[in-house]
Amino acid sequence: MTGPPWADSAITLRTLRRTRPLFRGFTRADLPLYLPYGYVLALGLAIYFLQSRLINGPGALDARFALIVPLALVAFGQTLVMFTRGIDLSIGGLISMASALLATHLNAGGGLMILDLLAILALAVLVGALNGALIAYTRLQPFIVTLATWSIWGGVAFAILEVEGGAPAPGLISAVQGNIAGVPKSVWAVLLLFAVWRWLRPTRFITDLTAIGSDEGRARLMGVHIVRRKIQAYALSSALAALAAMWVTAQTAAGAPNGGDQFILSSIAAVVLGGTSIFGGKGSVASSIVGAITFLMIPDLVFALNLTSFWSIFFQGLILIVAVTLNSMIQTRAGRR
Amino acid sequence: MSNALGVLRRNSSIVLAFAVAGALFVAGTVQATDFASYTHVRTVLISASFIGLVGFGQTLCILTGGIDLSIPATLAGSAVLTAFLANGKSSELLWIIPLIVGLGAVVGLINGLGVAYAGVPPIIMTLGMNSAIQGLLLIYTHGGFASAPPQGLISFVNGNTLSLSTDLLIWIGVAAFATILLSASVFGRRLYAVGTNPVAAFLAGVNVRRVLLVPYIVSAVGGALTGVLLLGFLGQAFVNIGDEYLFSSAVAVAVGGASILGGRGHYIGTVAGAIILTLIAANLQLLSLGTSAIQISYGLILLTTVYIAGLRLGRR
Amino acid sequence: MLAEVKKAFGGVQALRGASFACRRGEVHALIGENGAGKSTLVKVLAGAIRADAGELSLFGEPLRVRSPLDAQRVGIVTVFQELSLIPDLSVAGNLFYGIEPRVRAGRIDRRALRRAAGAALEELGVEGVGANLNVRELSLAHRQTLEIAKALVRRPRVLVLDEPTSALLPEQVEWLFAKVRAFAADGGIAVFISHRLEEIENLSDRVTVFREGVDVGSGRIDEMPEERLVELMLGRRVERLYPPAPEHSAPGEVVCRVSGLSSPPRLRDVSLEIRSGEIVGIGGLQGQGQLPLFLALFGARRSSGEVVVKGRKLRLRRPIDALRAGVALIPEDRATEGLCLSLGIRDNISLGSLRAVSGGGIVNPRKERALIRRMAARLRITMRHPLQEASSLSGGNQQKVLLARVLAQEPSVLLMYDATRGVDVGTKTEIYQLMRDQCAQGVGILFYSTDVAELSNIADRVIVLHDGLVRAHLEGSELTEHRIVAAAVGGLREDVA
Repeated sequence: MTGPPWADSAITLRTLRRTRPLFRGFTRADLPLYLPYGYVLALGLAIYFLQSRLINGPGALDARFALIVPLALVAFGQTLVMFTRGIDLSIGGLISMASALLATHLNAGGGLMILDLLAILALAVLVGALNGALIAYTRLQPFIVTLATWSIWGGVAFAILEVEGGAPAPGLISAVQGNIAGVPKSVWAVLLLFAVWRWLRPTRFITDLTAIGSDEGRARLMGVHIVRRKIQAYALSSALAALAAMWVTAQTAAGAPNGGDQFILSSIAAVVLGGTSIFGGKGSVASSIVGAITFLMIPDLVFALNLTSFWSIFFQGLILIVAVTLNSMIQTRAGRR
Repeated sequence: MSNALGVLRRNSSIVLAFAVAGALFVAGTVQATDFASYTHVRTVLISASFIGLVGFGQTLCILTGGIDLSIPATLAGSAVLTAFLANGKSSELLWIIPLIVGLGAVVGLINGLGVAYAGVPPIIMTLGMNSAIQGLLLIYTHGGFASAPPQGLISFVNGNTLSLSTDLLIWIGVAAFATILLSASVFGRRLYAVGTNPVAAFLAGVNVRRVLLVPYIVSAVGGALTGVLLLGFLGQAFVNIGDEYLFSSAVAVAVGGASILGGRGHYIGTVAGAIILTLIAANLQLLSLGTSAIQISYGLILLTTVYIAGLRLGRR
Repeated sequence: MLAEVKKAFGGVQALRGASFACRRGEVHALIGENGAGKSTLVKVLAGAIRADAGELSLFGEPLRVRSPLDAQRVGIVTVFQELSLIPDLSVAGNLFYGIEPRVRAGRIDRRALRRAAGAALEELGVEGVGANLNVRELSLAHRQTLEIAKALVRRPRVLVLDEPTSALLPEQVEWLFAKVRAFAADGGIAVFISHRLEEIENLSDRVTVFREGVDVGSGRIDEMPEERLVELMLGRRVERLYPPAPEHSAPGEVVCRVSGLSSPPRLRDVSLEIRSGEIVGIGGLQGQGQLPLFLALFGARRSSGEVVVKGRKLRLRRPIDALRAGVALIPEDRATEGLCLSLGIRDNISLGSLRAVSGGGIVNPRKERALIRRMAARLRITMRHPLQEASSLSGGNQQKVLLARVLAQEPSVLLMYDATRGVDVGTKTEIYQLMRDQCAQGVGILFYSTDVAELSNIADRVIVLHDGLVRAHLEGSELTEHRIVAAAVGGLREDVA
């Protein structure tokens, strides 16, 4: 049995309706990929009129983007995994573990620090490859494998660092602060991610991932190396999550042994808001990054509306539910399952 | 006789789970003599009961191939809300508990509708729901601070009925109900059929979507009622009260021999699973290992059990 | 190329040492009835499945094809019956998947790809398929053309075509044949699989006939007249015991009247009547609308048209609507659609009749046991224990469990979709007898089978479907194996009434 059990529900017996192109090469199923740009515009305008200092006050831009960078990184990896019709919950535990390591075991600065960071990155790649290998070889469902590894790495994080705290190296902290050419580093980082995606999108790697998500059996017939590609996708997801952990730890100047858990919901929400199909095969990392920006505007909107910050927890959950319901209904309508 | 053997063979994973629980108990007794004392056994069983109680709904969800990750929030939501609304007065519980059940049903209904009718992957649906409920709870209680629970609830949960802890008595009742539901009811038959092969169930005339809806309602209502019991047991409520049940409920079901792909398993297995997890935690404590070790062991156990279950299915 | 292969699935031997040989510059046709093992052989050649035993060789060298990648590497390219295109990818992306022009640092030059795809499509003479379109947006005929084009641009040494024409229009078939002839003339090896005899005569040089997993005859096409091919395909079968048709009393009243039933794209317009006590056979090549017809009648697929059962017009939205009106379905694949294999025999049999054996939502064990005992006796199901897992039964017994579940619902119209496939001869005979018994009790049966002998011997009349329409209606003296095959493959047109 491949695919999750809900993929085999009775609906398969219904007539599949084919999508009619709205215009050449663009079908209704593509529409969700362009919606997040609209969300950002709408939310941005709303916040601008309600509380303009949140957007154009001094340091506001850096403050905004400093939050966007880690989520954009995690959402990047989550999108790649979702291309293959998978899901990566283990980033929650991994980010916590990396953060705990960074806050306790990082050399002060210079070349040794870089080596430490590379070691953590290598560990993340290994951890991700383990996810991918378990999923590809044992054919266990992605959610159950990554749920288990989430628990494992989360536990390791607590073993390294019991409570929030520790002291990351000053070199790491200063690395993410300040400007380059008058523009905050955080903004550069997000732009860099867009550029990386622009470079990555036409690669055979991405084509193979979407082919796997679209139809694993046919992808195999096409000669796609399924096991290798899945391992690569999950390894990349973990590596990006480790980068996110570095950024967050540097920003907050502290390690958080359960700080990663929030990224599970937020990264999935960013991907779903971005319109990438939860049934695999179709999507865009750029849209997920814009989805991440949308998701992080919710607290601002809540603040601008003078509501307590608890409302943002509610809205962030609600928006995931609404977006994922619409997403799956659109994809089902469009004849894909 | 051959009949009894057949029953054992068909449920070998459940028998195995109880055997593992027994082994863990012996392991604990070897390390510490008072492990087998009446009070310790009672403590272990009561801790297990909360995993077991939320595990009922989780068992049903997993039997259909789904999962409910919103249990932590329903649990915490009901515990905090009950303490908040009752404000120390036991008489208030008369209307609070029906309200809590109703709210739980609404939560479960939304989860179920998303999964069964909109085709949303259960994991994403219930994860979003978890956050939404937590947010609502914080908003309504202004940060989740609630007064101590009413004394009546505390003495009810910790008291004895028929010389057994009330809480354990409730667990026994739930187990009996679950056994009837899964083994003898029409709904149970349909549930297993949908979990095993939704297409075949659909072609046999089963309303697949309606069957998929029910487990999420049971899980949310069960989570809510367990929250009230947990409040009485702990004597306090806080927002993270349910967090540990996210993993433990799912792992208990898997350890109890249920297939994560659906269609295989029984609540009796989950009972054994809940006891196993509690005994593991108790054993780790004897080795002076804390929560981190428990969490790591949960992950490893989940991986190995689903992997072994996968091998067994593959061999057929 | 030489092939000699064995392959078994579970207990079923799909290929029992099937072999054939073909030469360069030759179009070699493989024919045989459904289930003769042709498609399995194709999958072995494509590396999609591994053979259990046997060998392949190409130009004298032994071949090791263990994965689709291996097949591509040695130059065997397959056009699959169930298409291998990735639905979410563009036409250009599919056409050159894995062989994209201009790949630098793993990146595909999309513009070059589009241009190459446009040029390739034009050179091949494919019309109406834009390189930018998403495959999901293409019609079935265009997808099939694209699948063929995809194979041709790979410049194969061996081109395997598994029923490539099933969805093509006549002019597209002409186009395909021209391409295949040119390919063979260039020294390629083409293996062509089709059910349509006229196509085989038209295109191929040599032909090998398969039956029940072995090759039963081979030769030049001009030495193999159509009569001989049909004879080889049908073979001198193991004589099966068909229960005799009862001395026909006048056919009963109409229990089910279907008019103008359609469910696009595969079912276009079918009207038929089923009388009480009658077996109406449905024949035709695979995929001519038989499955949509059965699913639509059972409420498992949206359709338009009118279905009247026992004088009442049905509103079919879900299977339960059909079941309540007394229409029951025995689906095609008992493993994926029929049974819950990991559940017990008891659970499977009573699943459709839970209402009848329960009270207050609780199953009454006594009533259920009685039901199981009654059905097991009626169908002669051999089991150790009612709780025994259905998966541990033999194929024939599993089929009986499925029949038991369906018959326990006491239907008045029974839809049987290929219900005897993969079942041993003994069980088949029992199923035939059961159908006769049901008829004697006034049930009307609609019976689809890929086994022509079965259709001609069991059905009272046969309706042959083609392209979602009724192509022929055979009864009385016209109802012969030969006529059914002829009507289905579309050859011997003058014989069709």
